[in-house]
Amino acid sequence: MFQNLLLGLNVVTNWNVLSAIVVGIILGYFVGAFPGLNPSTGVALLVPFTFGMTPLIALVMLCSLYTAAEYGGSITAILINTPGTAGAAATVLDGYPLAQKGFPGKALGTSIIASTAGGLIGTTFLIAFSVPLANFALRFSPAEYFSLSLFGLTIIATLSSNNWIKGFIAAGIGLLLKCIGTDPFASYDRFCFGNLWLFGGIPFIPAILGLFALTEFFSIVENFNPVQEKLKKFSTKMPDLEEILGLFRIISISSVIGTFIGMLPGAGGTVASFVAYNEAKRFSPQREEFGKGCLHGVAAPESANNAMVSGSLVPLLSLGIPGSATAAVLASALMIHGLQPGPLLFVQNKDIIYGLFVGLILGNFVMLALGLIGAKLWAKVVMVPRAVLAPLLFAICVIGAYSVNNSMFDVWIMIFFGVIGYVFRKFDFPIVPVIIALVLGYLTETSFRRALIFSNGSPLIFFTRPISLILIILAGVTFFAPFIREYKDNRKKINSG
Amino acid sequence: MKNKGEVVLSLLIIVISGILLYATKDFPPSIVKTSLSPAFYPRLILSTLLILSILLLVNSMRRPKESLPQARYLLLIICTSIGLLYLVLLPLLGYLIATPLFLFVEIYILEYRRFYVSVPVAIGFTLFSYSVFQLLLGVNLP
Repeated sequence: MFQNLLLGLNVVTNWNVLSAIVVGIILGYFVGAFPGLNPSTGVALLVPFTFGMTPLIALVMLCSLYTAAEYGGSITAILINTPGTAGAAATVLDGYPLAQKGFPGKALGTSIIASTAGGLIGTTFLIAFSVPLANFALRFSPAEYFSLSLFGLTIIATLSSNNWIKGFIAAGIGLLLKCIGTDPFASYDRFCFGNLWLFGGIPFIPAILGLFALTEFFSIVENFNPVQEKLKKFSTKMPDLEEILGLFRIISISSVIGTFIGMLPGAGGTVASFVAYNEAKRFSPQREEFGKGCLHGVAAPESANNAMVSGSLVPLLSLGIPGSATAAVLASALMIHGLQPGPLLFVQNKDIIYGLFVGLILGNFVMLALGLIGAKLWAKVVMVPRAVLAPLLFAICVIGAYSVNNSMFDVWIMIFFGVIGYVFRKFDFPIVPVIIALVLGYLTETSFRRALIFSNGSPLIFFTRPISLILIILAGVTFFAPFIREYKDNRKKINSG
Repeated sequence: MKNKGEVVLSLLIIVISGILLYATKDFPPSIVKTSLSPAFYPRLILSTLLILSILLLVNSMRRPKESLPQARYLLLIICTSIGLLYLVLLPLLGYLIATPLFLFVEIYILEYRRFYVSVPVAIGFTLFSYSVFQLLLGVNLP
């Protein structure tokens, strides 16, 4: 293990990778600080730009963006009561009151320290967990892979929306879209309707850009308010050493919470930050202070959402199942660079994996340094007028989608997915299951069919192999949980009514 | 309004699933005897989608009426149309001409009239993205 980390260090310490980290962090700050731009959108927009880079550099840059963006959201959360990312939604609860009291610097300082600590703790868990998990997964046969994909999809479908029907429909639509193209076993083109461009299936980048970035464009326009946010001058006085040391316990606990929530496919920054916040409030002796500007209330969600970043990479790298929406975008980035996310990465591409681990650690420190220096600068990001950002967003999407295959068709695919994403958002359908289904669809179908070939057509194979059986049971439990919950709720209503 | 939209959406999914299921009739049978035909898996997904969308249909019809949130739909339609126009003109005018035009018009529509910012941004972004993508590999539209 240690030798591998040294390998990672070796691979990372050259100017290309280090500058990739810095660029990624800077872009991440920008994406995070701008309200409305989420890490998933930011990573999606950056992926086409990483084409010419080696996989390691691309991956490190994208993950650095992810890390910095999760912190960056707290900047506007604290200063103007608007979370810059979904993961910073809980940070407004104590960050903004603290800033109102005249201590924005303390809030920002707590946030950056908590975020860095969260990222480092999360990455430690990432390194500790993903390696044995990958070793375990190397023994998987197609049956296990299918059951795992099924489990991943059911968890995501149930977790990502209040309405489980919509979640499953979203996943189903994603799987269906993945069927378009050449059948992997029989080389027959399905649902192509004679269109040559569709033979290779739906290209990832245009789909992701459409679902994440273009929907953001639509959202900005339809909620457009020409009045620009004004930023007042603020003091950047940092918290004292005593206050920082007092946060030690809360940061550790929240980081662990964040890491584990990140590992759950489908649960991302929002869930992590709120759960950490609520748990911190519940067990804190200062719980009355929460909501009025308590430092603990800033440290808890911020360490959780950065720990979540590394947590979401655990299932992605070891099993091939993204732990969050942004991880799904990273999955497609990996695939575009020719790497299949999953346990084989740990065998065939050790340098990339361990380079990424070291890169994440370094990235957290770079984020800390840039955050401490440039707090005032990042806050100014808010002053970028939306009227300029929205068209630029559209233009970046267009060029990004085009650059994959030099084809305008891909751009129209992106528009198609943008419309789907818009309709989904309007009618409360979750988008995350669609993208995860697109990512997992190929694996799901091929494992399913391969397993059945092995067993000569008998579906029992999924139930007789122990790991597969456990995963199927878990999938079933996750599938029926909403039913049971609804049933219990209805019983309560009847009893109390 | 929201309900009706969901009803329409679920009907749409039902209809599309039905059409696609019919399309799978033409799929060839499996090549290897023990393997599944190319139609099996899509049919599985389509049938599941069909059942789920029927459930959704029933669900949406039962709920009380909800309205769509307020939003600037007209602005959205205008901006999107300009975007689509840009895409249509892109192969004709080329990237270097179409993009600054698009950016400028769109920024203008969004009520931002500070030309000393929008014009340099429009031109600057075009040049920047052009050089970045030309340098890497993507050949932009001429």
